[in-house]
Amino acid sequence: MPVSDPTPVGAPGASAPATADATKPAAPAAAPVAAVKLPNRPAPTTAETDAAQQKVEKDLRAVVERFKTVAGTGMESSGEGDPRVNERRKAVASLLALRLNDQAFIDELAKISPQIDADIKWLVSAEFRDYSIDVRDQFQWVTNGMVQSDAVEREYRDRLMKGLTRSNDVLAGAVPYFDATDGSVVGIRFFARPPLRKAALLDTIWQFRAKPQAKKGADTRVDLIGPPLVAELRNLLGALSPDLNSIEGRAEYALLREIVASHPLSSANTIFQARNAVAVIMKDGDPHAYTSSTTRTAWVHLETPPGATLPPYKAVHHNFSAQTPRNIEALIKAWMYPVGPDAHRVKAFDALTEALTLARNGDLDTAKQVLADLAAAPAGVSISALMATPAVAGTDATALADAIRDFLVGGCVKDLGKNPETNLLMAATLYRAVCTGQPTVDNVGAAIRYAGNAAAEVAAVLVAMAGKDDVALLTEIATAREKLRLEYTKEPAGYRRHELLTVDATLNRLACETLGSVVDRLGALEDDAKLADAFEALYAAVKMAGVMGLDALGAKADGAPLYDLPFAKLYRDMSDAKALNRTVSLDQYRSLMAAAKKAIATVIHDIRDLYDGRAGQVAKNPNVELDPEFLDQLIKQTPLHYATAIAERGMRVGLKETLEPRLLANLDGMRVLNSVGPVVFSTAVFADSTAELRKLKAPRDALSVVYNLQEKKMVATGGLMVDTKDAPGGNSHLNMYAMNNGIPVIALPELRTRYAEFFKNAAAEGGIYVDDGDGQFRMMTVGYAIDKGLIAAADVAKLKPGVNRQIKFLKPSAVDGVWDVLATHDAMVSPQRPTRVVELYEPLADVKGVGGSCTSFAELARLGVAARHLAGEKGTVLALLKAELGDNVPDGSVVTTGRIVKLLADAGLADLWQGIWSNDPVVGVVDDQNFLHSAFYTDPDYREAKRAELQEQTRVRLSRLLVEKAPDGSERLSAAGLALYAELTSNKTLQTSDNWIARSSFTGEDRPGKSGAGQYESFPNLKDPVARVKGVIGVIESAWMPEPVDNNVADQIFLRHIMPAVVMQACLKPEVSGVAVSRGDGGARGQVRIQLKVGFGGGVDGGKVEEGVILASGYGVQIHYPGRTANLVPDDAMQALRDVVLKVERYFDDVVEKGKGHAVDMEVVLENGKWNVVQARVILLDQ
Amino acid sequence: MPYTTTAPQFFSAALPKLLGAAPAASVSGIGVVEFDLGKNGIYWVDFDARSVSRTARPPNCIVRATPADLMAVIEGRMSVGDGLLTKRLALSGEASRLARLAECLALFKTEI
Repeated sequence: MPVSDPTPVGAPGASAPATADATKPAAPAAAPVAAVKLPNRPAPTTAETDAAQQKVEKDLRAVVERFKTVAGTGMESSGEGDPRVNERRKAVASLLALRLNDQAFIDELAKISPQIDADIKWLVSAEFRDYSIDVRDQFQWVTNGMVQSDAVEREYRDRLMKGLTRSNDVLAGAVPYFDATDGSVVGIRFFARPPLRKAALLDTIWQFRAKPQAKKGADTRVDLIGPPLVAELRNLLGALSPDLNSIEGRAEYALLREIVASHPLSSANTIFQARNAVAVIMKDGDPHAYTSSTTRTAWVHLETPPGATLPPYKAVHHNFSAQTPRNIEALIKAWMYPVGPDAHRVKAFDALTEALTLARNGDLDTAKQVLADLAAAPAGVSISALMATPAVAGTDATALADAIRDFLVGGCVKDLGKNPETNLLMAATLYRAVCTGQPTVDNVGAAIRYAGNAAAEVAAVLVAMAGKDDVALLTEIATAREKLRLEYTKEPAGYRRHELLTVDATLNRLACETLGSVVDRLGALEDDAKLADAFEALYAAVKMAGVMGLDALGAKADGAPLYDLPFAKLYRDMSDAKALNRTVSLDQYRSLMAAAKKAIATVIHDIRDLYDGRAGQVAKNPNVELDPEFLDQLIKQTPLHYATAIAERGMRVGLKETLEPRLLANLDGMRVLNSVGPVVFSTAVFADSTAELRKLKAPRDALSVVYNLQEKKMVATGGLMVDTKDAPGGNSHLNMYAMNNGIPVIALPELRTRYAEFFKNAAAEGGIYVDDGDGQFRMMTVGYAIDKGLIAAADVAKLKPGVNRQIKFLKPSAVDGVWDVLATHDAMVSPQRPTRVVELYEPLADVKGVGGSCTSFAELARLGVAARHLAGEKGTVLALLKAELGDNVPDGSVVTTGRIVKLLADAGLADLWQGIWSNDPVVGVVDDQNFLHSAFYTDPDYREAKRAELQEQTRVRLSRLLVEKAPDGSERLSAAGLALYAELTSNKTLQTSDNWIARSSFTGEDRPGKSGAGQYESFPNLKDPVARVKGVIGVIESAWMPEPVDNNVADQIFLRHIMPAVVMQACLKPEVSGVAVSRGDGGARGQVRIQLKVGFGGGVDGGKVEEGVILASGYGVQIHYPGRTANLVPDDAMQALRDVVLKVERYFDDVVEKGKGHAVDMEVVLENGKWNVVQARVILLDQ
Repeated sequence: MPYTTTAPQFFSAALPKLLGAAPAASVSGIGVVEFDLGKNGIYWVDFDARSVSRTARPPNCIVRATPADLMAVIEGRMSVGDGLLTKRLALSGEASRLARLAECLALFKTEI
């Protein structure tokens, strides 16, 4: 890279500008070097953690005592079960968990009451055990009037057999994904090879986190399937023992903990607790109201909340699945507490019902504390009306409980029946049982009992929760999670591992919540205390992310040492910095923060890539609709999401802002969302929205300045600048899109008004140079950058936006379906940009004897993707799709690369075409090593002269060969022309068509990472033989048109490896035509985004189109065709189009780009009521 | 005279004359500008071809304003900079085209 490397701003030795003027600017510099002192934060003492543990035990015993005589099994049918039994049993379980080996303790507990004694026996039979795959009668503890133990046993065995069959199906290649739609996970244990097991785990998580779908088929009663679901999970956890001393093992641990975190059930008792709670709501105190519609609360089993797919009762009792938690969450958000922002409703409802219970039980102080915490955070939760009531300030616990109840009743939009308070609390119980409640003192306290040897560390978390130091809390959580992981490796039993991962999931939620409030509190890191807190919070977050195995997920399991994992290295560096007198210099602080930002971004990118790599396969499961939000949500549920925000702020601390007419640097409030290192933009394009940007057709090397960002409507652009107010979080869809495509994204404050003079100067000074690497940000006019010696004029073209590319030219190997690399070239722009492999297929005279003459689609299809050597990408894909889709692809033939070589030889052009590479004035013979130094690639004048000559001579000599003058002066085909035409008309479709189209299909276009779309010529409406042959000539001649030649030179593609092929098809007469992409907004699978226009589709880019998205549930038009109010195409035809498009995407994944999971971009035509695919290619940029 | 010409009058009568009379250097390189006046309609002005149309064309630049605000700019009662600052005017397009457009509108002010 011939770019000078200026001293990093803020680095030692960088000088601060004495003055800031446009004529004598200098690089901005850091504030005077200072140091950040990291205060000691003493950990909770043993006395404190012991006291915390004792209090937990006391509270649990209080629950046990309160309900010690409540009768029942907790498993009764017909809604007869009493949730108090389940609550008591849960407390007994928590008490037992830590002292299962203490018989005296167990005996003492059993003596409390016969009911407690029964609870203990039940728990030992049902909960504190594993379930084998080869032992019978494991569910004798099931005593339910409707479902008997033998039925549950049968269900479990059926699931085991299904698991075995499903894993065998994957191993045999019969099914491309591991099917976990019914929540069955046990089959994963049958994958012996770690990579396949990893894929199965990923598939399962995708399915657990899929979008809710209306349940089809038989009832899935929770009392029947719930116990086997839990049993399977424990069986799996017991069977897999990831080696945490290997990258592979850490990745497996990460996925197993995600499986547990995403699993709808945590224990057998929980199943019955949920079931009984929802029944209590429905019956509303009427013991005879089972499934009747007479109670005022019958809505809970008759009506479906907005956003859900089933009524809550049915979602729990009859149709329990991985979707049940979403349905119950919808109940809370839409009906029970539809107050305030959607994101905060569940938290608020959970906290309010907790406070209600506390107050009702007489614990006034804790109830008030819960309310105060809720009132203070997060933003958007408004309980001011409740806080204003006298009861909140008073001393009467009952009055406070009444006030909270009345407040909740006022917020609920459904009839809460005769027992509003009970029904509210049962809704909360239901939520906590199914969805896993928010981390509270109660559930973290209960977690202590399941933490085994990590109990003291979890108790320290509880102590820290009671304090005011949120950073200390993070530190304790990180320590506890590390100990829990250690405990996991020592525990062989599946149920214990399940418990440990459940505790870890609770602590993870607490960590994320705490990190969120820390990020809010730290603001812009205005003082030393905040700087220190940011460092410690980031340190804890990085530690947790490492403990979770997140950096191992996307890492290569190639024996690389664990200490080289991104977070291990970062954690080590941060530890070293802390160890030095607990003082970190400001330079070091920024440097560590920048390193953290980079490491986190890399890990997030790798995680998303890993998951995305399975999405294409899982999407083939007809029972699953993948959630396009899943990956965003997944990252947000880890400390990484918040660590990004802290690192982004920390890396700029103390940097001085520069705002000059030709230079902007380190602006206050700015954020670099994606950094790609030095880059030059030819110009800036301003747009109000991304839709407008698309309309303006911003050049690919432009910096697009968008004032109102719609994150999920991203367009392909060189770089993106948005206002800080619109900038999404550090790990958003936008960022991942940008990272994948090497697009720098910068957020600046006051974007609309503050930089006008700079952009005006940039327009006059050759564009914009941006260097946003190493946590610094400098944007200047190209003229300024050259003046300052940062770049040379010759660097400008090399620094244009885009990714690095490794270009490979492939030739067939001795093994069918395997290719050797004939030549390779690395087109590197910057090491900070992603590298994309571009595979191009070498043109050949024939493949297996096919292709020496014009070749039909049918013949080409028999070659599979090897036809690329003969027909280019377009011709090959159309031939393959014709064989696959039949009527939905117009038939045709291809004038192959081999046939064209013959034509060139016959026309006397072979020497001319080859001569350009054998007789270069600079290097002589041009080859793969020296082509970039040849005159053709370095001398624009020479290139233009040669190109023009070749284009002209190609046209003239091919015309002379193929077309001649008839005696009457008209044109007719020559003998060579007739021979070529006869080859084409041997295809019956062409023979009988009165109107042809000749279409370019070069070997260097339409490949992933090498589009070349629209560069070469196509010729429609060819009505007679002469016009058709001239169409062929026109396509071949276009090889030497200025645009493709210059673009290939700029892309560093050695043109000697590129040859034309010509696709000849019948020219369609479309009613409607357009473009379809096999993904919806945000890359959602199963959806098809379309742009349609009336008639021929060449003008889709002109803006006169209908736009919309076709979903399984129907077609949603977003923009009507100008002048129309109705859709261009009826809904049933749109569904037919969706079917075709998704079929093509699946075919691409199966055959064309096997297993890559790419989206496909298609040109489609509706003719005589039938959809035709006239082009299909991979689209890497998802817009 | 300020406040005497409406936006429709400007586009139908005044602008074609101004475009016809403008020096080539003032109008070339701007391309097609879409003047979006909200509910009052859209005008497409091809500065290079010196034509005004109500028929949709792919634009190179987009100007959004109410008719009153647009005429305030045209008549010199509000600068482009002030219009942007107060969000009464929105400009979209490539930087150099927008700079030329702003200069051209300033030129019209002296002509109108």
